[in-house]
Amino acid sequence: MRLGVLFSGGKDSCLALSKAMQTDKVRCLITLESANPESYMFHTPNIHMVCLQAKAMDFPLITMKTKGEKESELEDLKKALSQAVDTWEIEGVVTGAINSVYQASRAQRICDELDLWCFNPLWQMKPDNVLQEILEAQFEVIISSISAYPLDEKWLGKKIDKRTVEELLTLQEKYGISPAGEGGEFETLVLNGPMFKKRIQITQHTTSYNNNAGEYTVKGAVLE
Amino acid sequence: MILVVSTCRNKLAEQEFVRPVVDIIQGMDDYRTVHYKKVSLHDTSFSDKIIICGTQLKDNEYLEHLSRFDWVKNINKPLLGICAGMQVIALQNGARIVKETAEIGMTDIMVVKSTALAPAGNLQAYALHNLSVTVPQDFVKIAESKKCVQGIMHAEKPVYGVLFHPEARNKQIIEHFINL
Repeated sequence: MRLGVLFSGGKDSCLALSKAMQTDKVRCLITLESANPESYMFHTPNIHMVCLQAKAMDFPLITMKTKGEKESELEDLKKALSQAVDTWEIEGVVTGAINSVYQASRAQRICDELDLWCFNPLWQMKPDNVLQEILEAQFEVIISSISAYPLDEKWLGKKIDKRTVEELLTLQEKYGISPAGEGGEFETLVLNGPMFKKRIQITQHTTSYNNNAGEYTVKGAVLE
Repeated sequence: MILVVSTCRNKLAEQEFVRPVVDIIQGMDDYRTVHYKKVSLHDTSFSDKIIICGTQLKDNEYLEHLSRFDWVKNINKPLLGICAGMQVIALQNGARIVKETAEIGMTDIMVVKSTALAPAGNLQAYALHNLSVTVPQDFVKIAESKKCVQGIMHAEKPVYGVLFHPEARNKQIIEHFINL
């Protein structure tokens, strides 16, 4: 089936993409650039990196800007999906939703309205399994924002490797944070992975941090 | 051993409708997954319990192949149908499809009869369906929403159906079934 993948550049959408590629034909990536950092639907930090990521993976990218307000962003998503249908003749949409009923049910409704198949291949995955699969597939992932105690500025830009996963699992036990960041505790950026033809090298970045909230913003990057 | 039956037309959808059920079984019991088009007498005979999983909103292919589920009528062992699985159990027992009963997202469910799977009372559950079914003869309604029948149970056999998806927000229902 010809599919479009909703793509934020983080670990979940990359893992969903890699699963879709195993069974179906991914024709394009679809990104909503939200002007609202608190968007209900769309991950925001480093969203400007999706162009370079799509280039690194050699996938066409459809981007749509949205103000990121609760319901109008759904209209914008619908427009982006319609564009993907017109341009790439997609028959279905893939999301990286794991546990958010809010995200999954809205994607389901929009696909239903547009008569598209809706796939959520990570649905209900246990957070430690998500991290395990990320490690096994050798994705190179960094933490691009944090917003929960006890995560502090040390975590910004940190690579998700075996040790980081162990640390996250310990924090889950002690503080109840989701080790996959499902509650928005942290966001991620993928720099390399099995479907990347070139790796992304960050050449410049800035960090901002205040009271257990911070962002690692990429200011320059090249393909290796 | 629990037989987990996929009703999915598309392989990728099994990640969403079969794998979450398998994740619940893991650590509780052995399991085997099989696609509905490949279920054999051997599969149904050599399992202790059977779960028929749901599928995508747009996927109605299983309705065109109902004869593949003829084995459902003669099952005496514990059987649980989820969404498409409940529809199949009901249709195999003489019920009919009820259209225009779509529910997507968290839905208020009234459990109207206590069973081994859930006590009577209200619960919130994840629904994802366009179609529902009538209650077949020899079955009783165990749950409902404002729009449609949400749960059925055979009057004498441990055969259950739920229209909502317990693997999303009501995992204990599947755990109770595994523990029957």
